[in-house]
Amino acid sequence: MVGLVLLTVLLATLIPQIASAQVKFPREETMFVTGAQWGPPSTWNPLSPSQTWGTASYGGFLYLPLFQYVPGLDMWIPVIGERFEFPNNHTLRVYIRPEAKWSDGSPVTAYDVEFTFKTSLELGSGPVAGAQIYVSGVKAVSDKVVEFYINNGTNNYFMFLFYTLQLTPVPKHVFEDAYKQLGGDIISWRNCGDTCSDTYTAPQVVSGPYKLYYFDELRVAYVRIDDWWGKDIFGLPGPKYLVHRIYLSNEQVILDLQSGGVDWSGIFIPNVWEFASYGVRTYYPSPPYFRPNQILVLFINNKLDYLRDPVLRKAIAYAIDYNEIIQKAFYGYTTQASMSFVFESLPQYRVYINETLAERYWGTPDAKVITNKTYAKQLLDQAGYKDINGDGFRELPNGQPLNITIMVPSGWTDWMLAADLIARDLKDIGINAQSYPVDYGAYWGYLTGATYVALLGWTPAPTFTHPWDTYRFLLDPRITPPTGNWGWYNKTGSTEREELVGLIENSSRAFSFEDRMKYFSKIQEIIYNDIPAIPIAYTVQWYAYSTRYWEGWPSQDNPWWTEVAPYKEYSLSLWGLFGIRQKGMNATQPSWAKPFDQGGILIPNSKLLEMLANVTGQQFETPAPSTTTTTTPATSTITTQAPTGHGASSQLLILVVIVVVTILVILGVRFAVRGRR
Amino acid sequence: MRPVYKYLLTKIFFLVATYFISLLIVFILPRAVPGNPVQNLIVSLTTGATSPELLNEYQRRLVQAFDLDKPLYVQFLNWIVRSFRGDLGVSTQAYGESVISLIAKHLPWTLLLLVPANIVAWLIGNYVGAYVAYKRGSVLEKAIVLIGMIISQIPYYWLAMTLIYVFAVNLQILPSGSAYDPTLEPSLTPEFITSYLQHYVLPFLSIVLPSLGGWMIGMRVIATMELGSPYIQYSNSIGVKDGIIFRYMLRNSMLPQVTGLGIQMGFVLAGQIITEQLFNYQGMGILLARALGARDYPVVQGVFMILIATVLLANFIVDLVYVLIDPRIRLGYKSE
Amino acid sequence: MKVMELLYVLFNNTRFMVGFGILLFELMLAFLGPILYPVDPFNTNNPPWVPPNDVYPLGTDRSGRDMMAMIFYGIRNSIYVGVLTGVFTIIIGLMIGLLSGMKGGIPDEVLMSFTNIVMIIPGVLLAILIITYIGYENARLELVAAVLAITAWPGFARGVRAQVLSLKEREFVYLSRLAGYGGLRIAFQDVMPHLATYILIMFVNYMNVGINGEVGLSILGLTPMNIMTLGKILYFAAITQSFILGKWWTFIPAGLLLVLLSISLLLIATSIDEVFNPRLRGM
Repeated sequence: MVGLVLLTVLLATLIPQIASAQVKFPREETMFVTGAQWGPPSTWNPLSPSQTWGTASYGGFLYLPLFQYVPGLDMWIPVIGERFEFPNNHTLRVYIRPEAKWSDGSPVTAYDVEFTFKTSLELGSGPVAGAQIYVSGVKAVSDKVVEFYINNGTNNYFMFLFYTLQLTPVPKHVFEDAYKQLGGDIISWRNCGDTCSDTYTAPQVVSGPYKLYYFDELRVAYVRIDDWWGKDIFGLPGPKYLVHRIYLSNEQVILDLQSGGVDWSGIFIPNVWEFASYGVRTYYPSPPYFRPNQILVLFINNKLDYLRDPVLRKAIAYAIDYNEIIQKAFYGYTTQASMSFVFESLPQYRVYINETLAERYWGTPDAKVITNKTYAKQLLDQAGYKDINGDGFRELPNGQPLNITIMVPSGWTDWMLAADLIARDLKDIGINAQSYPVDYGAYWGYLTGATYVALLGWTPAPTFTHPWDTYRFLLDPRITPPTGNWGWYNKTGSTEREELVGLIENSSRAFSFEDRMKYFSKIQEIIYNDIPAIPIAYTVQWYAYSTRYWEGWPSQDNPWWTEVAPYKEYSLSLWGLFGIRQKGMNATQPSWAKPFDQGGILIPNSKLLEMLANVTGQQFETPAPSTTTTTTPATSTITTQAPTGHGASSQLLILVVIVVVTILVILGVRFAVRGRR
Repeated sequence: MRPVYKYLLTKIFFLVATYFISLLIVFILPRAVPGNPVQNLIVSLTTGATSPELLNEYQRRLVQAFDLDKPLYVQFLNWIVRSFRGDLGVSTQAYGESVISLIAKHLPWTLLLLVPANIVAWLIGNYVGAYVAYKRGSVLEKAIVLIGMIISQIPYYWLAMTLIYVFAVNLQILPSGSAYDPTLEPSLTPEFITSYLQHYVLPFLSIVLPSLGGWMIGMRVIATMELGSPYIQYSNSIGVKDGIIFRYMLRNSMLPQVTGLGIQMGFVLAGQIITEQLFNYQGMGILLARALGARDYPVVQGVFMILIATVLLANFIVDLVYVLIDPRIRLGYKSE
Repeated sequence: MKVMELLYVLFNNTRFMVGFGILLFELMLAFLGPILYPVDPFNTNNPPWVPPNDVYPLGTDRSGRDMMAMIFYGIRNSIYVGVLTGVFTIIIGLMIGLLSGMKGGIPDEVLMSFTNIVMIIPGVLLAILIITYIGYENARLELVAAVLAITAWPGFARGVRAQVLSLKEREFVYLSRLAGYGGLRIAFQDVMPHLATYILIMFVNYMNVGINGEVGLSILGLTPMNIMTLGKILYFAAITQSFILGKWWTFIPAGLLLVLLSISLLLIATSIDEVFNPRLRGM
């Protein structure tokens, strides 16, 4: 009876789905992607805080920014903007490309930019939410020229440019009406065109080379716009259809990778070298296999007084066996990070490490800590962390017990193992520690509530202001999780706090290498003294590709593009597609992907810094390339203890013993019971 | 019959009260656990290069959009009132998608898998169980009992893992997951239906086999006891044909099993979280698992609202049937 | 006297002996195993994903933990959870079922509604809530058993109540009533003894429920991380995708032992039922 009712309900819901239009994707023209979208699709609206992959904030295929910074190349791509200049020290003037058009034919104008800026500010959502602190205004000077004005109160050039250069405009002629109709609810407007029913219907008008084609619970599909305005400048991306397959968990993706059902993968793959036989490749053919993305950091809660002791933190930093974690937990996919928090894995940032300071504090020119458990124990002994009550673990100098729980999201197996290893390292130097996996939602709760002891987290990916952006994220006492300062770092004295804030603010106005290093050295000294958090290793861009249907993938042999994970922010993951072609169609490196003084159109970041220095009256010189090589760890020496298993013969013996004992017990009981009778 | 009406009325009153209290609990529980839906959305933005002010603004805006700044009782009342109008809210993860349409997209796949699986298991299990009860003492009976006992104790998720390992990974003759091949779209073409059926086999087996065992041994016990009852023995002695006796026995033994099925169906909806996760089946289990992890309050509330209603209804019907068929219980109420 | 008789009958019953034998085997594995094979199941100092070989009889898992050691410790803790779940469920369910059945009327309705509510609340949600609230460092197996018992007792309570309701109308209860005995005395002297076998069988059943329930909770990641159980082994196999990557030794042996354990408990439960329920004799 109940079954019949349910069956009717079932049919009623299924029929509309079955009746919908037929959708098929010709395999050779389709690129199947995975790893960037883990939940059901939300919106395709750049003004919404929640966007589906492919819209603008990540996987920006539909809506493109004015300019795009590429960390791996240290260059800017002029996308919708053609060039920019600083007519004075408080104005940025952007010239929009004359060719730039929306997908319905109307040109991209300065009015679109102006509208996007103003609406986003009003809504508190979208590309420039919160920018009023740094940007005082915008003005469309003419059809294709727009100006932005810095907020003189804060005068923070880096944040000013962060918001303005990478602004993603939306079409005013579509969004203005939507905004009038929906008001504040426009942030939940899906902008799906004719592929779904929505609170407000309008055609989907985009600036990028793809538009939304189809979506359901399992996939999101984009189709290429073959007469895209940029095809004479950039060419066209290879795949005609881009279909992202949505999974709940990794297992299924792995199987599909093996069977050739996925072309571009952004998931974590254990033992990735075992997949080579299936035609699955990574950026590097040998360790580390993957490109770095962010820094994995062990945050120790600075709000808890007893954890603030720098000696304790230093001891922890020396106790951690970084190589073992990289080899065992991360399969050798990455390299150790520097205590200076400078993203030295990318060469252009390496120069910002003050090597003298690094040598003085850590004994290495790149501030990478060399594991030394004996030294760590010494430090703790001298600082008064002794085992008073004989339980085998050290107590605090004041006698209170010390227990460090390292929080990780449960289910992230590599991080769980890393936390296990760190806990074991801490136990080795006498500190009681455990890894503490928690449900993902709870993890954020503990972080934001400052109710954790230690936690494995990350820093955001570096951008054109690095290392300023990372220092702000790590140290700025004015921000709190999840927006930043995950370690809840703050100075105890108010003058020191002011000093720190001053450092952060002032370094946003320094553009010459000398000036920047002045500030960064001071900041690095603070970090080395206080140790607000301990960087472990780099997190990686999960990127694996199949050569079954597509060729021209960026890789070590074809390094023209570096931002290769499908989930990279803004439009970074889009550009790699321009060098990819169907198998057998002879893929070549796009000619625009070179600096403009070498025949391409890319603008080096140093040029931007030079322009800024000039307009603010500072000296500028390009920093000398770093001559010291980073300390490469000795080839993986995992300290495995003697194998703890027993031989096969003893295994058999154990089983035999157990079976015999069981039988004896049974017989014994039977006899005992019989005997009573 | 006045006692029955009185009974019905009290039952309905308690039913409504139970439902209301359950809704209250479903509302409070996810909010009592650390984490909230806004954090989950913001967090995904911190992996790329980002600005703290942007994130703060987003956070503020989202809290507003989800009504999280309003006092709890207001949120609760809003939810209840809107639900009566048919608006279960908007998902926080799949921002912009209404809870109802999400459920409508996921529900069919769960039902399509679990309803037939449970019915098939029930039918086969009961029939075989009754049959071997009939053939008491035979070798067949002993074998079936043994098999039934073994497979009824296999946890269905372990069976799922093993099936995937054997058939999809090792032998590679069946697909390992998804409801159908992702290059296709649901339609009534033979291509789609073949793909769907192919993907259907393993999850179907992983549910049918353990349930089957359970029904089988349960039915056998009931049927055997039924066989000992007077009317069967009488029919036997006056020479009624075996087949007819069997059918009567079957029908009478089915009754307690029907109520069991009713209760089972109620739990079917949300209980398959693990199976669906292992097979990447886009059903209610995955919807619920994702929603719980992302603290998607509207979806969690919506799913449980429907699930609890179904279970309560199923139980209500069962209780009613109990009263109507077991005179001893009715007697108990009369004696007050 | 009666106990010895009982044991005699049971031990002569084939089914009971088989079930008991398997259970005993697993208990031996649980207790003798760690003694004969003193390996720390949480020690990750071994190479990962080693198939069974001379050094590691059952191989290692993704983190380098010795599978055999994990299984030995796992059985012990799984059985412990099972026993506790059985005990908790019986105690709670008995109290509520007896009270509800004996009193009848409004208390019965209230208690039954309460039972319904608890039955409705999804165990999953409850488990997440309780375990997150208490915090992982305080999470213990007892807590897991408690959560399982909380989701299990409504079923048992209803069963008890149904039995009590039909027992209530039997002659000896009428006699006791006539004699003026109070409800409590009737409950303990007349009703309970008739429930004894039911309780015993249900205890074994709920032990089974506890063991399997723990597996379910573990697979969802809701049990303490520093305690090894059979369910935990399956959890690690699931999240490290070992079954997809073909590392069968990480989940097949543990699963088999789990199934065996459940079968043994089932055999024991049904054989007790058979022994005490004459209508079932000879099945």
